[in-house]
Amino acid sequence: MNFPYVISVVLIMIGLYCVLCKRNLIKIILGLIVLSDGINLFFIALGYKAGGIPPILNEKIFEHGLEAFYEAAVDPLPQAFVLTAIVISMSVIAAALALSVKIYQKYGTLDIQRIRRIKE
Amino acid sequence: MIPAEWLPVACIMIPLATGVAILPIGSNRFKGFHGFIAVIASVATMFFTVFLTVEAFKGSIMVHLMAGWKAPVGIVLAVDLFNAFIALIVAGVMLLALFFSMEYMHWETGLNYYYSFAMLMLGGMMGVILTGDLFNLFVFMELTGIAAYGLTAFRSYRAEVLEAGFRYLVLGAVGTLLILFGVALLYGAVGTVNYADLAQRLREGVFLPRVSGETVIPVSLILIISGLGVKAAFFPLHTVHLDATSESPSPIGAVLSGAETKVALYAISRVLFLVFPLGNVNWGFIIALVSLFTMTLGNVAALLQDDIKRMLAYSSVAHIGYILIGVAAGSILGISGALFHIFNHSVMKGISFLCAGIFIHQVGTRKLSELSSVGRKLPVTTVILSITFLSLIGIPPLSGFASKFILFTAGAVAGMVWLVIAGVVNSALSAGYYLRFLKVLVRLSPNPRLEKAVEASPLMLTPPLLLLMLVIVFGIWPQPILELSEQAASSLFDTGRYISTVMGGM
Repeated sequence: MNFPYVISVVLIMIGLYCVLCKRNLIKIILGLIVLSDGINLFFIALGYKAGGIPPILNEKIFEHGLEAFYEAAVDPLPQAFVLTAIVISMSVIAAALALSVKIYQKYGTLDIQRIRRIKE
Repeated sequence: MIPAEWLPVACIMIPLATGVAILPIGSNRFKGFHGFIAVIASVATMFFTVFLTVEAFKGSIMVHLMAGWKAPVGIVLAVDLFNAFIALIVAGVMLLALFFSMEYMHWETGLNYYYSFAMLMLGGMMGVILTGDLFNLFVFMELTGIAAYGLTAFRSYRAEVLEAGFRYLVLGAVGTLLILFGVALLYGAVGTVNYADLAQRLREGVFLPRVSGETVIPVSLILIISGLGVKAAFFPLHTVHLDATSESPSPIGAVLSGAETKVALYAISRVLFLVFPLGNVNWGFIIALVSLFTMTLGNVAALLQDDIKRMLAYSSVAHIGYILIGVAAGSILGISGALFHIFNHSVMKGISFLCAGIFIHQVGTRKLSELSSVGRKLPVTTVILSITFLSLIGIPPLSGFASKFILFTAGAVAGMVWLVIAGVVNSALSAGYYLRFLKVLVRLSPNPRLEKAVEASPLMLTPPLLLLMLVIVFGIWPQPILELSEQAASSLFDTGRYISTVMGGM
């Protein structure tokens, strides 16, 4: 029952670790992807029901009744949320990759510790 | 005139539509055209936010039900005086920054991207301010973010800019993902993301089955606030904001410091005071501690700077600390002081960054040591900047004094005398670096860098001058802004009315 939640928290931890501790820009971006996937998985798991049916009203509802439909139908809202979140994270990742290409052209390296030029 | 409930839609859609429309127009053929369109669109947005504020000042809460679906099922935009006022400030800062950009950015290439991103950012900020549900907050925050990362890294021929842009992107993305995780937890516990519905259910303690609210609610609140904190630039999340504001083009620095941090602070206070019932945990004390660290760190680090934009970025962080005193006090007086200071700080940081931009444009440097005695060659800019610095310190006849006074009074009334003492000490500390900068700028020593420097054109001087008028006028006569922010603060605390208006008809 709690399996998807455990997996998603593990993914979130892996993602945060990669973003905060890795030195290579591409690995940092991969960390961002894993992090957002972990959160998306968490969201999807919230709406999951074992043996659930799509929440679409059709003629079958007359056979089993509204109450049975309500019991069996999955929550569609998390999936709508996740679809939006996937599109957003896709565009963020695209922007990050574009920036890292530019950084590689400018600095000749993808190591975050060797591209420090801003004074503290 | 369009009906009142369509005003928030106009405020969001005009900048977004303009941003999409000017993107494909090639930048070499129509030089100057993009800036003109963007300024027209921000004038229109500003116009509608003025209408919003007037409507909200009459006491109405405007609720727009997207596609007619009622709350909590549909997406709502809900506007009371609190967010209308913030929307007005943000639109004003963006308008003047874009007007300034028309000449400041004139020689750059790819201006269609610049103005398109600026418009998308304005649309995103309007969305964050006017929306009535948490998931939309995440979507618009990320829209604002993507546009801001693009604008930060706009001058991609400079290496530092790319670095600042990448850091800002990564931490900004992590921040918004934390918001998303907080929203997911909250949705899992309560089953709704609408502010009003959440507030109602959390106050009544209605949770979904098999969920214990005591653990989930504080965790999601911390996640949402720390996610917003990356944009609001308070300690310990201020570092990327510093890089972004000091490395981005100066008008964008003005927007990041004067508008984006304020948007995030707005969202934090909305979430804290409307959505979450402040129960057994003493949030005020935690925010007071954050405020103390934020202002001390900002002021101490600003003392050590030689780069004028870096100094201004640190001073922004310090001022976020002052604003948080009002949030920590958590009273109507505190929030109205915070709002007044939000207004003042947006105006003052707008002027400072635009004046720093004029120095960069006319002299070609932002190092203080190379700008010495610039006051002889650029007298108007230097006088504007000097008055603004005095106002940032909090010298009495200027508006910076009035708002700081209210903030400190609110802190003392709320029983946080230690925080007020720290604030006063910090103000004295801040005088150290502002006066040092002023002294160097007006010094009468020969400076070979300044031989060819001339005063900026009237077009570039107009935005700082307009803002300076606000600093002087509201310093001498603060009553109108005071009354506005007091009413706005009381509308934030009138949660019952907000909830019943948004949920009306259910």
